Amino acid sequence: MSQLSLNTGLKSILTARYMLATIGHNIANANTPGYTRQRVEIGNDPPISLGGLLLGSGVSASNVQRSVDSLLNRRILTQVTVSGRLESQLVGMTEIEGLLGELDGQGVGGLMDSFFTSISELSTNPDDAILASGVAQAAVTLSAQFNGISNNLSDLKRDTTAELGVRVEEVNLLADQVLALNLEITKIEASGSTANDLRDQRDVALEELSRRVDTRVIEEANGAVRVLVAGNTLVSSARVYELSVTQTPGGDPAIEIEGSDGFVPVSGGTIGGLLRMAGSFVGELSSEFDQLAHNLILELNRLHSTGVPASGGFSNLTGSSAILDLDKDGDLRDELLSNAGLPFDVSSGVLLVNVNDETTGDVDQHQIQISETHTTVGELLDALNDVPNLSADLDSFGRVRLLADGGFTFDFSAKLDQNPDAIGSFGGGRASLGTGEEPFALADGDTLDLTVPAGGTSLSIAFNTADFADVNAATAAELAAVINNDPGAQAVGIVAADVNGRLILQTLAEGSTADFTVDGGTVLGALGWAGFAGSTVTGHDNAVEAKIAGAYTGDGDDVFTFVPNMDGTIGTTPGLIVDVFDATGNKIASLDVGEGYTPGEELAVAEGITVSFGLGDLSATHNDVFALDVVEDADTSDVLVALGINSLFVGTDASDIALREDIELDPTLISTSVTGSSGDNTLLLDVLGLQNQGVEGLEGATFGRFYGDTIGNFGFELSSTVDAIGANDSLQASLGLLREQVSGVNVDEELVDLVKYEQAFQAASQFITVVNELNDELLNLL
Amino acid sequence: MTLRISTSSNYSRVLMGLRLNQGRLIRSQEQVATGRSLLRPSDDPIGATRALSLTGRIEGVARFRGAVVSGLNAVDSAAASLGSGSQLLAEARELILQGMNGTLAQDDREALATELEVLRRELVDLANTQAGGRYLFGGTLTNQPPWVETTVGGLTRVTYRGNEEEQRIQIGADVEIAINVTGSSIFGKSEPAGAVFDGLTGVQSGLTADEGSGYEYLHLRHDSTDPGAIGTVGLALVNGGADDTILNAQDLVIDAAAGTVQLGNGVVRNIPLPGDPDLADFTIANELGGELHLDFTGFTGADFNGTVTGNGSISLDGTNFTAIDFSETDLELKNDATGSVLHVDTTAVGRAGKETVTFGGSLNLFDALQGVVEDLRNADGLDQQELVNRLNVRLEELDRGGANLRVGLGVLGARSARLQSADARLQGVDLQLNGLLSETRDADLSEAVLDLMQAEQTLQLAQATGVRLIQTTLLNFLG
Repeated sequence: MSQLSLNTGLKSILTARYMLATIGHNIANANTPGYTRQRVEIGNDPPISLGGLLLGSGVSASNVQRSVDSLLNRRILTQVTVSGRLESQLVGMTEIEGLLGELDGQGVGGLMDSFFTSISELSTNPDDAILASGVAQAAVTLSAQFNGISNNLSDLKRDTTAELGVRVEEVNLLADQVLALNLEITKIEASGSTANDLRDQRDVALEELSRRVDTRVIEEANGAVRVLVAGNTLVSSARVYELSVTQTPGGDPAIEIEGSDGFVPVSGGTIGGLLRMAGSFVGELSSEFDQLAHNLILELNRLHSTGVPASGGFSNLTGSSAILDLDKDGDLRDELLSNAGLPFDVSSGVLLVNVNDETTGDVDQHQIQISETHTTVGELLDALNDVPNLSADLDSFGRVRLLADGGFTFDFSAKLDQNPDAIGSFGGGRASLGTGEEPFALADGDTLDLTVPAGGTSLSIAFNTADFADVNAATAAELAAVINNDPGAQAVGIVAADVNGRLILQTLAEGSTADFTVDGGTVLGALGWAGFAGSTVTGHDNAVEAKIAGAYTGDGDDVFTFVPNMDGTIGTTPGLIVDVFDATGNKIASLDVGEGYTPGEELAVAEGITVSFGLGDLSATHNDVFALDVVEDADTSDVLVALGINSLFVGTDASDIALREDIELDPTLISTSVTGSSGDNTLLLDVLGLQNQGVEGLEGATFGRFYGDTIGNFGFELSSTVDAIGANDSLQASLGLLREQVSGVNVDEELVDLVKYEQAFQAASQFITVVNELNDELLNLL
Repeated sequence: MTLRISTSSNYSRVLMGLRLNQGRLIRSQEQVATGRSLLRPSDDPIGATRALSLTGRIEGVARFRGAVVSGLNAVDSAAASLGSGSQLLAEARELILQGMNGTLAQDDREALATELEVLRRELVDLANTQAGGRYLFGGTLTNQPPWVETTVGGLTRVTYRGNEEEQRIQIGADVEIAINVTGSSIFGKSEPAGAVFDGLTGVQSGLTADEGSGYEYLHLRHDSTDPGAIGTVGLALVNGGADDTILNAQDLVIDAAAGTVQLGNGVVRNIPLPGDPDLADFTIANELGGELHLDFTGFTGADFNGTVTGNGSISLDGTNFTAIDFSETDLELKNDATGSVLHVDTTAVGRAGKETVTFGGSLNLFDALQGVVEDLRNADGLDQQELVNRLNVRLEELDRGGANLRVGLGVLGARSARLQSADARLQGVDLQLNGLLSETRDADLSEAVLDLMQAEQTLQLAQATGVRLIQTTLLNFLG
């Protein structure tokens, strides 16, 4: 009996001690992260049957339990994953926000504005070298900002990738830790007890793991956990599959796991955030800047390359983009222009080349047809070399180099041919006979019989099927080629030309002594010259000089054809009118040059173009005509932009955009107009107009709009991240509080327990004393 | 059941509260310090986009205002030059009127010519006015003087080397304005018309149109005189007629009864009597002043009604002469030095001389003034009436030129006004945009300060309560 009581007292004391020890442990760990409050589970011991009585046998501690809500813990793990991702994104985004420098005017947007402002200033005085330097300076600053952002973004990507490596290493270490703890926990718990503190440690490790990657934790019956990362096993019961950093084919970082092919689609945690930053986020942002820079280069160069500086044309120019030997045959000339490794696309179109005679001021205008599918580098060079007084070749880097002969300059502007009737088919000095418009229905073997000069040598020119693509629909160009190649015609000085689809037959000699007689021939009918058989065509002493002035303001390219309505003398014959037709045959102007017209007086044609006629005779009978090419865009093929000839910016995107080096050295090389007049600012005004134009390569947005959207979207991303972090933080805080409610240590509570168990201990001690005294009493009886 | 509160959550709660309030305080402080509520794109993405677009537009307005100021500068300088030019022309007009005074001696005319020469130079200088290193009246060719003095075919000429282009500046998104008037439209424009002669020799414009610019001289030279039948009444030509200036067939009528002699429709003169000092060299002139020198020594005293013909040559350049066929109504003359082509009708020619040809449409003020100078110096030995006639023609030219100049002044004045109103408008837009930007980007200071104070107070409260919460523990009472 006393044995039982003593035993009960002992158990009571022991239990109180256990309690006190646990309270001490709790108080000691009140501030330990991840610590879970422990409780000693106590129970009254089964009674002992003694003398027909069931006597209680005291208390005993059965187990030390953790106060844990495992469901809550799982939710916290998820939340930690989210906040890990958001926080790592926030760091990167905040860094980017700083380097964009926007809202202080130091960002790309503000610098673009400054650049256009400098252009506007230059436009008020296009030949001012200081204002031109201002443009160069603004262009350099803008380029530098683009380069800076591009560099910073790639630095960010590199640093982020490096950080990823560190984080992945941490994940692997944490996984090792979890595995080690698994082993210990299963070992301990196999014996039936709970490995409370080890479990706490494992919970901490799992939380750290979840902060880094999105995990799924599965607890097994033996107390071990398996950890899955995005569906792949990271920690199994036996081993850890290590994560490592690798690269996607696109150059973005990615995560691999041991023993499995392919990438692990980590989307959460610090690693998920870093992956997103280094991958799509920085990628998209820098590609938006690249897109902006690319289109800025393209659109500005499109205008600039077809302009002329205030100082006039160029004596030499070298392209900034090199031709690449893509077919690797050691020959650059056979590369297709549209596939020669050039940074901008070459499409089918026309390039206008002007060669200016610096002494006479004459402009020699040539058109070079460029085909996207056919034209090679060599063909372009040949075509350029065919332009008189201009030579072209490739330098050692494979860049196109252009050089004008001494006393000549060249440019690519859409200027007007001021003297469009160079051959004099419009009342010129030469004896000249024209046809109507092509095609001409010839027959094989048709002949043209002439006597040149009248009463002189007779000749017969034969036209054969072989000379024409379709002899029944011969073109003026084909006919002219036959005539010009005819030795007989060459001997007597007869030439032919194609004036916008009309054949012109002329003497080389000029003046009233130059003449030829149309004797006959079977071709006359097809050319509409039947009425001229036997008649003589004579040249003029007073050649009509048609001078063009103004600038073409119309849309698209066109050809204006000028024809007189009757035979007559300019300024003299009543009713003499020059009709002007556009390429589609619509009459766009009727110019009265008859009686009352003062030779040399300027007359408005259309679309900003004026013409003046000098004294002389015009003949509608002889089909006098001249054609004027009016060009809106002097380079519809963009070949100049692609080759970087006369460009303002070089480079292709934000990383390498730069002001052309020789412009940086000499800012007066900036194109200001198409005429090269010192005060002409038309090109600069066009550049200013770019600001308000939708750009094709920017999905129709203006430069400013596109940039604003980029910044706005970025701001949205960042602010929504900040907001999400705020929301997540408070959610996490409340989850944390909930956990603290269950698992946290309240020191006051422990103190109360402390007092309680201290007293229990004292009571048990007292009980033992009493039992002892009772025993002593009994012993004394002996 | 009451909530369990763990001790550490107490601490973290206090800490969180402090952090939150400190964040608010810093944010408010930042707003007050910078005066802006929008500091980063993430502060307010929509506002940031708006602020970006607004700053872009404000920059654009500043750009337009810059262009307006520079345009105003150019327009006002040009207007000032034209104003001075207008005064110069008034002075020149005064001098020309003086020169037309019949009583003036040749020396005085020389003095006037010299003075006009000075005025002409000044006018050229004005037409070559520069502002900010560029020439104002050369169209878009601003880097070279638009008016250059040259010698063309032996004549002093000022020619225009500028162009007809307008220099435009952008003063609004789609608003452009020209800031120049071209020199040719101010100093060199007149209404197109055919070639005009000053009417000295009786030469007339031919049928065909002419081509040329400014004015040139048409030389009609007397080569020889065909005396016709004058020998029948005992008359002879003096010195073979070398001093004669008649051209074309002229009627010579001697009315012995009345004692008069008349050439063409010229002044009727008395037949010189023997003893008259002019007897051996009697000069008679037709209505145009074409002179015929006759020797009356052997005059028979009989009536005469016959024809005397002056043969001559004509030239536009003073070098290449062609013999005149007096039935020609469309004779083509060329000056290869200037490229001019002139068609003349010589049927009414009556005397030799140097005729001024003014080509239509392109005479400039400087050349008109130069013409006056040359006329006043009277190298051609014109008589008073002819001189006055010529000066009258010049005066008309000058007046036309003056009118162009005033039109130019008006155009510039209108542009100046337009630029000024554009400036005022832009200023208004600028204010409005800046207001909008301030609304979007700037902090309401009173509100921000209030926020700041509130945040400060809340923080202090949080600190105070936090301290009390932390300090409260059972330990204080256990002992």
